[in-house]
Formats: sequence, structure tokens, C-alpha cells
Amino acid sequence: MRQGLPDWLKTALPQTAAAPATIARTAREQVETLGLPGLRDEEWRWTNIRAIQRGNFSAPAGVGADIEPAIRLPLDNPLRLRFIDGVFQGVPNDAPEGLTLTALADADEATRQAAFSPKPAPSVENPNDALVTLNTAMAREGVVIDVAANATIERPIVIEWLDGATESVMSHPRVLVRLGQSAKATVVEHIETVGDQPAWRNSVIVSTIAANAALTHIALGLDGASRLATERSFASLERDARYHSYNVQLGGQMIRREYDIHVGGSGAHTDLIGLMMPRGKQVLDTHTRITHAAADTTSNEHYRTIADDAGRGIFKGRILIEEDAQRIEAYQSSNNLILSDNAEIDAKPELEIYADDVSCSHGATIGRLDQEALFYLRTRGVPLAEARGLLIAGFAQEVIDEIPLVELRDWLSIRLEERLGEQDLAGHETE
Amino acid sequence: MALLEIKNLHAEIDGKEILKGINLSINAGEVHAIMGPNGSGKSTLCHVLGGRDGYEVTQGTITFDGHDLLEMETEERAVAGMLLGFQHPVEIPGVKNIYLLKEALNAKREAQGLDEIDTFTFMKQVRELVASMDMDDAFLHRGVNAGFSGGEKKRNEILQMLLLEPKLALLDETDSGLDIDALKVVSEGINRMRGEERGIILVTHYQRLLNYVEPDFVHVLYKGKIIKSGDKTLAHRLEAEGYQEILEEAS
Amino acid sequence: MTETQELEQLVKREYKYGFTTDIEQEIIPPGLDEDVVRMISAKKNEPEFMLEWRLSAFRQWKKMTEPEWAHVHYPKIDYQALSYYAAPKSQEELDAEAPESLDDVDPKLLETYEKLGIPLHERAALAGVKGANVAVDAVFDSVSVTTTFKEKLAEAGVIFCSFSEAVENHPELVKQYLGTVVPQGDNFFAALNSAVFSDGSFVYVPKGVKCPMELSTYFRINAKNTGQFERTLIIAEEGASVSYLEGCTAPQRDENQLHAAVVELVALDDAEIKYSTVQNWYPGDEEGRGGIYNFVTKRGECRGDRSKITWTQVEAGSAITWKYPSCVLKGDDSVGEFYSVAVGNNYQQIDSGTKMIHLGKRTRSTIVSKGISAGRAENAYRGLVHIGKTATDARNFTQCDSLLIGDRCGAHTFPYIEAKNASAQVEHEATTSKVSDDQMFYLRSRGLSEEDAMNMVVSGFCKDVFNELPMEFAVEAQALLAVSLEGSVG
Repeated sequence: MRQGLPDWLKTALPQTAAAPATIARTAREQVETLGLPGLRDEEWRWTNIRAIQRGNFSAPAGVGADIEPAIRLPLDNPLRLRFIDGVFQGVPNDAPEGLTLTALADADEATRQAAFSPKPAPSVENPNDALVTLNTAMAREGVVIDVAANATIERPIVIEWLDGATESVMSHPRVLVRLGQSAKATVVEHIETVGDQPAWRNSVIVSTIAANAALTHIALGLDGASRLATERSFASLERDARYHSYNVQLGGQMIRREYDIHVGGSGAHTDLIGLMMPRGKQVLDTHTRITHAAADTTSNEHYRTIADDAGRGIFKGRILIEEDAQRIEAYQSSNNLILSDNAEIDAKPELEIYADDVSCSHGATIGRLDQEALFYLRTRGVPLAEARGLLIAGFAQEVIDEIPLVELRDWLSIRLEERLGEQDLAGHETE
Repeated sequence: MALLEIKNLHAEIDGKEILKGINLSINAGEVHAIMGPNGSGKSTLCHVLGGRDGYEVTQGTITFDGHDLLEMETEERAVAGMLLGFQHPVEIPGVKNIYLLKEALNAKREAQGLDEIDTFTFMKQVRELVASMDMDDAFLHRGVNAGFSGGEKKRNEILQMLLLEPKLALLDETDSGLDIDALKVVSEGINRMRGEERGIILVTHYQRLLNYVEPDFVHVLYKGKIIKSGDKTLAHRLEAEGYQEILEEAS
Repeated sequence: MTETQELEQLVKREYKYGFTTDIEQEIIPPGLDEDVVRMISAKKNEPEFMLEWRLSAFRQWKKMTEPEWAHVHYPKIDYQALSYYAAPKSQEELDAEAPESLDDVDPKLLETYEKLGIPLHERAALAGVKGANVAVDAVFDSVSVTTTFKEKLAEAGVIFCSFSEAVENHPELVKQYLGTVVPQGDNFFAALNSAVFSDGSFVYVPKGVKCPMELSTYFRINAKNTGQFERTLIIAEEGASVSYLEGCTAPQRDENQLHAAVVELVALDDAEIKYSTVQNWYPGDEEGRGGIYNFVTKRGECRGDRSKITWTQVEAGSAITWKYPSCVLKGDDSVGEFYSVAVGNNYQQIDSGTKMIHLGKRTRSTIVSKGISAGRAENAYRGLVHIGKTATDARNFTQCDSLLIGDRCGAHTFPYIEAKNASAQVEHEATTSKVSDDQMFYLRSRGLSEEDAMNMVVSGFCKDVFNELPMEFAVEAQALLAVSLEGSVG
């Protein structure tokens, strides 16, 4: 049961968009019937989109360009691609050799075609894709990141999503990341609220990774009590390509982040690593889908959630192995902690397998700190609450430790420590 | 007639030739050791003799107890009296050891035209063998090799041999992963199998096992060929001088 | 022939219960409206409250739509083309009462049950042939044919009879418990069942009584173009315990037949119910023609503290299986268990699993699911573990494994996990793999034929579930998987 497209959204549909004309026209027609996903949609059973439905958001009219993020990430000489309430602030002029940055509005037809044709193709049958279709119909802002074949871009490319600068604003930006053969690059999403205005960003990032290329994609959702976001990342991998994703979500009123990874060339591999820490009344939700469409491909997925107060953490991960995609190894785990009786964890690890020569497994746990470790710490004289605190910090730290940028890792560790210091970690184990 | 006669055996895997003309003749009552460095083709030889899929014999013949071995399925080889002891015995969760032992014994008895063994006789025999291998009865009710230590797996292999009494026992790296106590137990098991009616092939990288099980013949396998054969002193030389000396001497 | 093809051949099995019984039957014309519901109720001489209950279910059903979320595909069912009541005629003539003794039962029916290996002759059973000490209720199409061992059970205070008899002789119990676990409007198929169910089994075990024998029902669909809608209600009062077994077969027919049963279990304080199923409805032929649509709602409520409900199922038949035997753990310290083997071959489709709803404190649940897919079968595990806000210190453990035989089948796992309590402990593990070449080679090198080796690996894979079945059924289940571990040494 879909909720219809709210009037405020209908009236906001633009006549012109960044997508090529035919794609934009089709999308405009589709969104009217697709509407927004609702609770009755299987994919949205745990995440209430009502806040968006009732949001009465409008497209940004014009924002001050002088807004800076409050948080400085410790990155080495980053290339900043800033979006303020979804409005792109222009390409930096110091891009290194092998890297081409283009505002979506300035991109040629073929490039825009690529930006709006992700793989696997969104389907109108899938309620999730209603939001992608909406983005296609609405997108005017965006950027194209092109990494030439054999180029290794050392400087991190940072997409700054600075949301909430103006009142009740919505945005539908689109980003295209293209890596040529054997190219290497790191893209970091710096997601931050810069005002206390409600805001909704519905962004789509489409990545294509050519043979033997490697993309590292780090997303950092740093805060935001009133930030609503529906974020979608597509990545398609050719032969021997690598896609390493790290997704750390530390706040937001309702954040729904989705990954669609199409492992389409033999020898390709993807890692999806994530940490979500909802508190207050936050809803942090990640859905991932990994499609093994070629033989001899591998994937490794590891998500952890720590839910406190009345926070809600949601993880759904699907591994799909297509017919004839043999010799697949896919591993997925979802480990979760609930720190408060008002918090909630929902998890759905899924396997959908149509080939036989596979080795797949998934595991999901809720609420289980390693009792042996807890006991060990206590025999060493650490009081129960502190012992739990240590283990919870360690639980989150294990995800942070996977992040390849050392400075960022250290910075996140400290932030994590501060964050857990504010929380009650007493727990339910008896003394 | 020899129990096992291998003539000019060539075999390849994925189009790559591993065995390049092996000749070997083994009579009942003899213990042969096949030694060689890593990658010399030892495991391939065992798998070809066991009838494992994926290995293609491109030339040569193997005769076992009068049968054309290469025409036989894996299980036919087993019931005809050839038993392969694995280097890495696979784990089969949920299938009790005792079931496997009984099924295997009955398969052999059926091939010999005998009735199935009665449970009482079977259990008695198995319990005695288990005790002789310094193992606990409880092990019979665990899944086949499931969660076994390296040493337990190897003892299990020998236990199966003692029960099934093959005409030819083919032991692939049986000594690997064994501590000294386990090595002794396993060796005693092998020595108990020695007899006029039985041939034994020990495939091993090291001479260690041969201190406990004295071979009648020692063969050195290198790059898919037997480059040197001799008596047990050859094994001592290998231990003392290493493979390099012998290899140079042979070439 | 490749190894995979050989393996596929191994798991192909003929359906041996595919005969039909040539017996005169009374079948009402196809179609469903309020008059049909009234007719069914009238034929069964039901009291007014039952008719009202059915009509209310029917009115709800009319407003409902058939669910589509399961991972199964089939052509739309025309509910007006089905007949909703079929009964052996001779039975009908007995004033809708169950036969007093086996002498009153049509000999052809008895013959049918003989063919199925189900003992209906108490004397034979007492004499120690297969099935000794198992009381049997046999349901032929929609009507319960006979219930054995009634007297012996009555001595213990246990009521075991057909649902029709229960409505007639124990209306107060039926009124008190019917629909309290699976409400009329619970889902599309449960609503349909509530409107038109014709018979089924009823079990009542009074306070403190351990049922002295296993209770068993065998279901048989015989008539053409009929739906079978039986309803089972089992009540275990405080401290009572009962083990109930259910077996199902059907003739081989080219068209599909609908089976939409409802099972309700109620366990009061300290009560224990063990419900085991070996489901071997006709699965359709190798091309996927025919077979039973098995759309079943099974749910147990651990209403009392320290109560326990165990579901064990071996699902081998049916063209489509769609069932989730579930436990609502209301009582503190109550326990729910689900052990399942689901085997799909040819074009069979299975979407099965369980729901464990934890509401009481210190409630515990265990789920062990083993799915085997061969041929072009689609086999999905779908499960829900819900730890409610009130369920302090609740625990769940789930192990969910899939085995693939052949590269044209599918194996899927869709577990839902919801936890709303900080003390919850949930562990879910799932694996998918094929029978490894290493395992096959190892067993064959020990002299086992390929078939025996395969059977051995598969039965080892299912062992955790078979261990939970009562002895009788464990044997049947193993045979069903073509496993011969003779002698069961040790």
C-alpha cells in the first residue's frame, strides 16, 4: 500500500531537471503513481516515513555560501565538494592529475545518462526505488567525479552534505563516481546539520568501478536531531574491482541509508562495514543489497548497532546470488546492543541463493556481550558497569578499526569515547 | 602377481601434468614408503589411486589385485580392498562415526557376499579397536571428524583401517599434525596391520613416522616421477642429508 | 553424467501414496457463499454459536485479499470453483456421528489406511504391530473417520475425538478456546478455514494429566476438486502434557488441491505440548503438474507460566508449502521450540518457518531449521523473533541451514528479528552450502555407494531435527528422506 505523493511534493516537481529529457519525463510520470513508500511496504515495516510525508518541504530558494561545517575532520589535504541544503557550491580548482570534477549541470549528455542509469536498474515494482525515481525527477544539483584509468588519487574527495541551513528545505542531489581501469580513490561523505531547521535530503550516489579499480567510500553521519535523510548508494563492479564501504551513523531524526552493490565481474570483491548508534528518538536504518551476478566473487559485510534511550537501529542486509554465479563466498554479520528498555533493534539478514556452489553464511546477535570477557575483566577487579563500558566501547571500536584512514580512525575513536561517556552502560547482568 | 602394479602413470589436473610416468610394484606383505618434497605429486598419486574426480589419467595403467583400477568407481575400489587414509579427513557433521563404520563394513561384506554384521559382534569389535587406539567410546557417537583435533582425525583413519582390514592401505601424510604420543599410537596401529596378506603404502614428507613403522622399500618422488628407490637406509639418508643431495645424485 | 546430475537423480523419488480410493462420496457443488457455510454447519448439526462463528469468519474473509508476500508463485485460485465439503457417503448415513466401532466403517476406507500403514484396528495395535500405544484419529477428506483408543484415554480423563464430536459433546470447551489463538480474521486462509472447516481433531488434557500415549492424526485428501479445511484444537491444562503427531498424504492428481488448515494449541501453567508433523502431501510430478497447495496456519500459545510448546515438522510433500508454526510466549518462563526439515524437489515451492513472540519474562525459544533444495525447487525459511517490551531476560537461539543439491534450485533465508528490551539475547546463525565433493569422496572411499553417501550426509544435516521427533516418526522421516541407517547402532 503506497502513500500517494503529498501535494506539497507534487507541486514541487520541476519542469526541467538534470536528468536527460526522456529519463526525467518518465520519472516524473512514475512518481505521481508511485508516491512515497509507506509502512505497509515490506521494506518499510520498521521505518516510519511519516515525518517526510508531513514535512511540507520545499526546494531551497537560495542559501548563503559562507556556511562552514562545525566539525573539522582530520583529513589530509581534502578536496571539498560542498552541498548546502543540497545546493552544490562549485568544484575546487586544484584537482590533481587524473581527477576530473564537474558540476552535474555542466556535464555532457552521456555523463548525465550514466548518472541516472545505475546498475542494478531501479524498478518501479520496488517501493524503495520510488525515492530514487523521485530523485531522478527532481535532481538539479550534483557532481561528477571521474578518476582516469591507472590514476591513484591520494587526496580524499570529501562530499560535504550540510543540511538544515534554511527552514523546511528538501534536496535531491545526484552524484556520479566513475573509476577507470586500475584507478584508486577515496570518497568521504561528511554529513552534518548546520542549523536546527528540519530538512530532508534524498540523495543518490552512483558509482561505476572498472576492472581492477578500487573505490573506498566512507560515510559519516555526524549528528542532527531534526535531519531526515534517505540516501542511496549504487555501486557496480567489473572484473577484479573492489568496493570498500564504511558507514558510520551517529545521529539524525530518521536516516535511511541504502546500498545496492552489483558485483558483476569475476574476481570482484566488496566490503560493507557499518556502525549505527541511535539515541534520543533517533531512527538509524541501513539496508544493503549485494548482488553476486558473476562467478568467483566475494563479499564481506559486518554491521553493528548500539541503541540507547528510545533510539531505534534497523539493519537489513540481503545477499543475492544469481543463477550460474558459482564459487561465491559471502559472509554477513549483524551484531547489536540495546542499552535501554525503550530502545529497539530490528534486523533482517537475508540470503537469496540461486546457485549451488556457494559458501554463504550470516549471523545476527542482539544483546550479548561476551560473557567470558566480562567475567575475565571482573576477575581482574574491574567493576561490572566499567567492564560493560569497556566491552561496549570495544564493540564499536572493532568497526572503527576497519576504516583505512588512520587520522579519521583515531578521531572517531575519541568521539566514540566521549559519546559513550555520556551514556549509561550499567546493563542487566547481575552482580 | 603384484598386489598393486602402476605402469607409466601420467596424470594431470586442470590440464597441468603432475604425475609424469610413475612405475611402482607392490606385493602383499610389503610396506612401501613414498617420500618427496612438497609439490612432488604425493597427494596427487593418492587421489588418483583413490579415484577422486578432477584428476585425469592421460597415460599408463594401474592394476589392483587383478582389477583394472582405473575402470573402478571410488567405492568399488574401497570394497575391493583398497583404503585411502586422508591427509585432511573431512568433517561430516551430524553423521555419527559408528554409523559410518557400520555402513562401510557392511558395504564391504555385501561385496564379499556376506550378510550384514550383527550389532552385538560389531559393537564388541569396534569397542576393542577403539580401546586399542587409546580413544574414548564417546568418540563413536560424535559426528565423523566433526570438531576432532588433528590427532583424533588420524587415529580415526587408522581405526577405520583396522576394522575394514583392507588388502592395501594407502596412508597419505598420516603423521602430519601428530604429537609424539599420538604418533606412537598411530604407528602401533599401522604395525598391527602389517601382515602377509596386506600391502601398505606410507606417503610422507618426513622420516619421522618411519622410525616407528619400518618400511621394506623407500621411493623418492620428485616432480611426478620416482627418481630413486631403495631400502630403509634411503630414508635415513634423506633425513641426514636432505632431499637436495639425493636429487642431485639422481640427476 | 556429471556428479550433480547423479545427485539430482538420487533425490528424485516416486510418490508412493498416489492411489485414490474408489468410494462413494457426498460432495456439495462448488462455490462459496453464506448458504454453503450454513449448509456445512447444518450437515454437522452444529449448535447456533458455531454457525454464528462461521458466518462472522466468512464475512471477514470476503473483505480480505489473498496475501502475496511469500516467496511462492502460483496461478490465482478461483475460490468459487472449489467444493467445500466432501464426505464418504456411508459416514454421512451415520447421522454425522463418528462410528461407534470399526465395524461401522466402510471397509474400503480401512483398506486405504492399511495401505498407508496406519493402524486403525485397536486390537492389532494392542497386539504390538506398528503403531502400538498410539491413539489415532483418521481424517478422510473433510471428515474424521474414526478415533482409536478412546476408552483408554477416557480413563485418564483425556478427550481425543473429531472436532465434530467435540462440538457436540463438549461445546463449552470449544466455545471457550476456539479462535483464541488464531482469531477468525487472522489471515486470509485462516478466515476461510474458520468459515468452512468441516472436521479435524480435538484434544483436551485435564489438569495434571500426562497423556498416557502418543496421539496421532492422519489426514488424507481423496476427493477431486475439493478443498480440505480441517481444524485442530489442543488444550493442555495446568501441569498437563501431550505429544501429538500428524501425518498427511494425498492421491496423485494433475490439478492442484487446496489444503488450508488451522491448528491452535493452548498450554496453561506448567503444561507441555509437543506437536509433530510429517507432511507428505502429493508434491506434483516432475514437471510441476498437480500437487497440494498447503496453506496452513499453526499457532500455539504458552498462556501459562513455565509452559512449553514444541513444533517439529518434516515437510516433504506439497506443491506449495506456506506455513509458520508459531509460539506466543505469554507466560513467564515459557518455552517455545521449532525444529524443521523442509525438502523441496522438482518444482516444489516452500516458504516456511516460525514466529516466536516473546511477551513473558525469561521466555526462551529455539529455532532449528534445515532446508534442502533440489531440482528446480525454491525453498525459503521465513521467521520472526520478536522480543517485546515486557519480555525481560528473554532468549532466542536460531540456527538456519540450507543445503543445495543441483544448480537450478534456490535456497533463501528471510529472518526478521525485533527486540524491544535491553535484556534480550538473540543469536541467529545461518549457512548455505552444497554437499561438498570432499564429503562425498571421503564416504565413497570408505565403500559407500554414491546414493548411500548422499543419504548419509543429508541425514546428518537433518539430525538435530530428527532427534526431536518421537521414535515412530523419526523412522518415517528418515525413510522419507530415503535414508537407511539400519540398526541405529548405539
